[in-house]
Amino acid sequence: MTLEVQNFSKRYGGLIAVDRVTLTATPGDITALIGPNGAGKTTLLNLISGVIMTDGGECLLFGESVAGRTPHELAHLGLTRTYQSPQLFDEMNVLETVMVGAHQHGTAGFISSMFRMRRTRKEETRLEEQALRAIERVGLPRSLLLRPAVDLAYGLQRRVEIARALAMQPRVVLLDEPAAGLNQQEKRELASLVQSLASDGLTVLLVEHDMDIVMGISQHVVVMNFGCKIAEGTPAEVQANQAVIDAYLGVEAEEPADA
Amino acid sequence: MAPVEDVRGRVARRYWRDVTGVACLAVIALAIGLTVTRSYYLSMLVYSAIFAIAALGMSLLFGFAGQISVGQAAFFGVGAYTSALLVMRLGLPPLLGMVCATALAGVFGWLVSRPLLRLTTNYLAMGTLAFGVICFIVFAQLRFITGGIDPGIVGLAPFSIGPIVLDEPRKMYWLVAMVLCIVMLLVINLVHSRIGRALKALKVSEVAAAGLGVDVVRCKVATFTLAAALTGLAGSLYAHFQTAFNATVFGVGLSIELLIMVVVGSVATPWGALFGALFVTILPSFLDDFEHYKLLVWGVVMSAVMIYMPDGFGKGVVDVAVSLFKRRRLK
Amino acid sequence: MAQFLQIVLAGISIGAIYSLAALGFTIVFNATKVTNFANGEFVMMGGLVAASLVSNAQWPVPAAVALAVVVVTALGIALDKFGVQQARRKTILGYAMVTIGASLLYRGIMQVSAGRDVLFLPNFGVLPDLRLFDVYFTSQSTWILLTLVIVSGALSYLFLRTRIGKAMRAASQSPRAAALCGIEPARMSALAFGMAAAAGALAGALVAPVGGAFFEYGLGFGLKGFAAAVLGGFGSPVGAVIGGLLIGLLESLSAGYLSSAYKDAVALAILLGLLLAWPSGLLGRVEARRV
Repeated sequence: MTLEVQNFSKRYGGLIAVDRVTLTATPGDITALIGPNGAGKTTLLNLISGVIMTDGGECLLFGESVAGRTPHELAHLGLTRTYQSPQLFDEMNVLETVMVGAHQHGTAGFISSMFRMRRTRKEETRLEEQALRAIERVGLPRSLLLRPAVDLAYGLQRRVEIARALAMQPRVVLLDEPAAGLNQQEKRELASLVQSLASDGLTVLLVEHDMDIVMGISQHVVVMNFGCKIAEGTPAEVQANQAVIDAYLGVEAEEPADA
Repeated sequence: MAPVEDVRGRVARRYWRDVTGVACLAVIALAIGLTVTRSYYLSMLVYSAIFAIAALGMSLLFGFAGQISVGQAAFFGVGAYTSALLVMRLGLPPLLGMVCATALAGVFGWLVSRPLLRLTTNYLAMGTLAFGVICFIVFAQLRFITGGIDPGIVGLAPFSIGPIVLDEPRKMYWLVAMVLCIVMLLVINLVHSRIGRALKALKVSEVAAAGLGVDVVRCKVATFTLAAALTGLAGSLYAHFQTAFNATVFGVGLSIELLIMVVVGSVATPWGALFGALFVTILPSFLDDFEHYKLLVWGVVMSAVMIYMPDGFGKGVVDVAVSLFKRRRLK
Repeated sequence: MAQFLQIVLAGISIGAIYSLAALGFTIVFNATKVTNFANGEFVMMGGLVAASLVSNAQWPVPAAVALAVVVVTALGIALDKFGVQQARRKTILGYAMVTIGASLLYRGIMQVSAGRDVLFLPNFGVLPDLRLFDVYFTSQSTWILLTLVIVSGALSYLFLRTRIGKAMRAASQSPRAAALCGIEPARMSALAFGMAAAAGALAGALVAPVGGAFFEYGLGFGLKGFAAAVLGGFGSPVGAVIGGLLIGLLESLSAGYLSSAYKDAVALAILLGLLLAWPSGLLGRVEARRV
């Protein structure tokens, strides 16, 4: 059990965005979080990744209690995430952007950087190699390395973001709607990339709307609606669950009654 | 596919390009120092270099880390007064005084940075503005320490290193040119480092940067401290070059001019600070009675740049040039 | 006792000016989410334009004040239409920089056209000086407080009762939804800037007989007006008024009883303290915002 969320909640005034949600995610598995828009999925991701504080409940990361920790602390514990709209850094090319992901694997501070000590130069080479490996891992062509990251096509930007997250060498990855805005081909490539991440031993929590991807690659699906968890199980179980069908997957139109 | 070594070469090449720039700067500075003889021109260059050092600090803080500070004049003042007082009252050698001034300005910056940098953009701007004005009021009111507005500091000895006294613009020029080149090199090194990347990242999204392991608070505080120290260093050099000054120097006008230097030069590169400092220092000499029109000119410049070329005039010009070039190639 | 009351009265008078400046920040922020760093210059320009017309062109005071308000309102709308609306970088920082540039520009225009002397308007007159138990209520103070009451009343009527006021509130809460209802955000923001400029100009004209008008005064009005807005709770018009009066009061008390040399630093220190320790102020809503 890598990631255990227990009874996370978030309310904004009278609105309960997340209502005592519990879920678990394990290494090597893809746990998908699905639900209609406004169900609270991104809010839950924000809670888990430390962007906002939970109003209650607990979260265990590798057995350690992490509720209320900042994103920075969580990064040190091996948890990272991507965002619905790629938060890429303008003025930086692809390689530099991904190298930011490797930031915490370096120690060079202001002084050692300003004076460009030998130790720092060696470290830079190491960080660069880590970034290059991550870039290769996601299948980005080398020709794009020095292009500004924000100039790339949307699908490629997504991959840069994932490469950046991988450069961190995380153990838990939260992916926030990575397939949004991609075409069919890109979606297929993304799906197989995510699968390969899981088979490498990462714990993957995937928020996604594309049901083909979700049902195709996840081992475990959690369904949310109106801030609550309404179902969980294997893709097959969830697809057959009546509550899920009513809320999200759709109901067959009824035949009009005969006069 | 390009081999890894080739890519690495290209990345390193950008760094060495900037380092070559510093070498060119040194060569140009040398050439100017050997050929220009008119004191007036050399004075202009000395002031440009002094403000460029402060502007480099501003470039790191605002251009790279994205933290707007409209109160940097406070640190310029701390540097100037510290140098002046240590040399005049305690008899310290100017070099030591300069080091202390830089350090003290840095410490002061560090102290105020932690609370200030928790503020977001608008509040940060207002907060640093208020901080700068408070410091100015203190400088003006503590007459028994600073001399206030009248008479201010009078009779500070010019900078000297051992037996060499830098009592002419020509001699001071050598010192500030050297200091500027060194500071430029250090800043270039910083920009092309892990820290430089972290700063660029947190400027765009502090949350995203934090989620990747960047200690955002420490980076911002350290950058602010460094900017304060550099500004203090510039203040110290200013004090020795002027030998007499009063509190009016360290008002909001200077803080805004430092901002203008970075904004007009270019936000994205430290070279922008250099060009901006030259621009702001030298432009006044082209207009008679500039003092009278100064605000208007800066107002027009800053408004135009901020509306149409928010990444800086330098970058705006480069962008226009690039797009024209591309259009010609397509034809 | 009389001295204390006199100091209090002086504080409330200048506080009313800060309230009007604070309202300027609040109205613009509520409509556009922009913090207008040039707001203090509206106050400065109101006083300086009016004083110039009277001193240099011998205009009668009411006409001079009226024209000053019109001119500054136009300049405020111009800042919105040609500055803020045209900004390439539509971020908080971008707008802040544009308004900072504008504040320099307006200050420079005033320096060149109105000169480098501190100008005074004559007292408005008409209303009598009052004296109650050794406490003097000057005619000008009465004008100031009366104007604050009228402007506050007019603004609350505007925002709560009229269609256009409700349109502005709608546009500030949800620009897209408002646009779908036919409310143009651009018109609302121009209106907001215009109103802020008018209120500021009035304030500047009102204080010109007492404190004078000078092209460098805008910074002070801006910072103190902002401090007042934050103290009252940034975004709350009622808070802006209360905050202004409080700042004026505190400034006057500290100048009277502690030290007048550091008078200007009082409001600034309050501002810094608020920003660092109590940013929500008296009536503000705290927004826990993360990117």
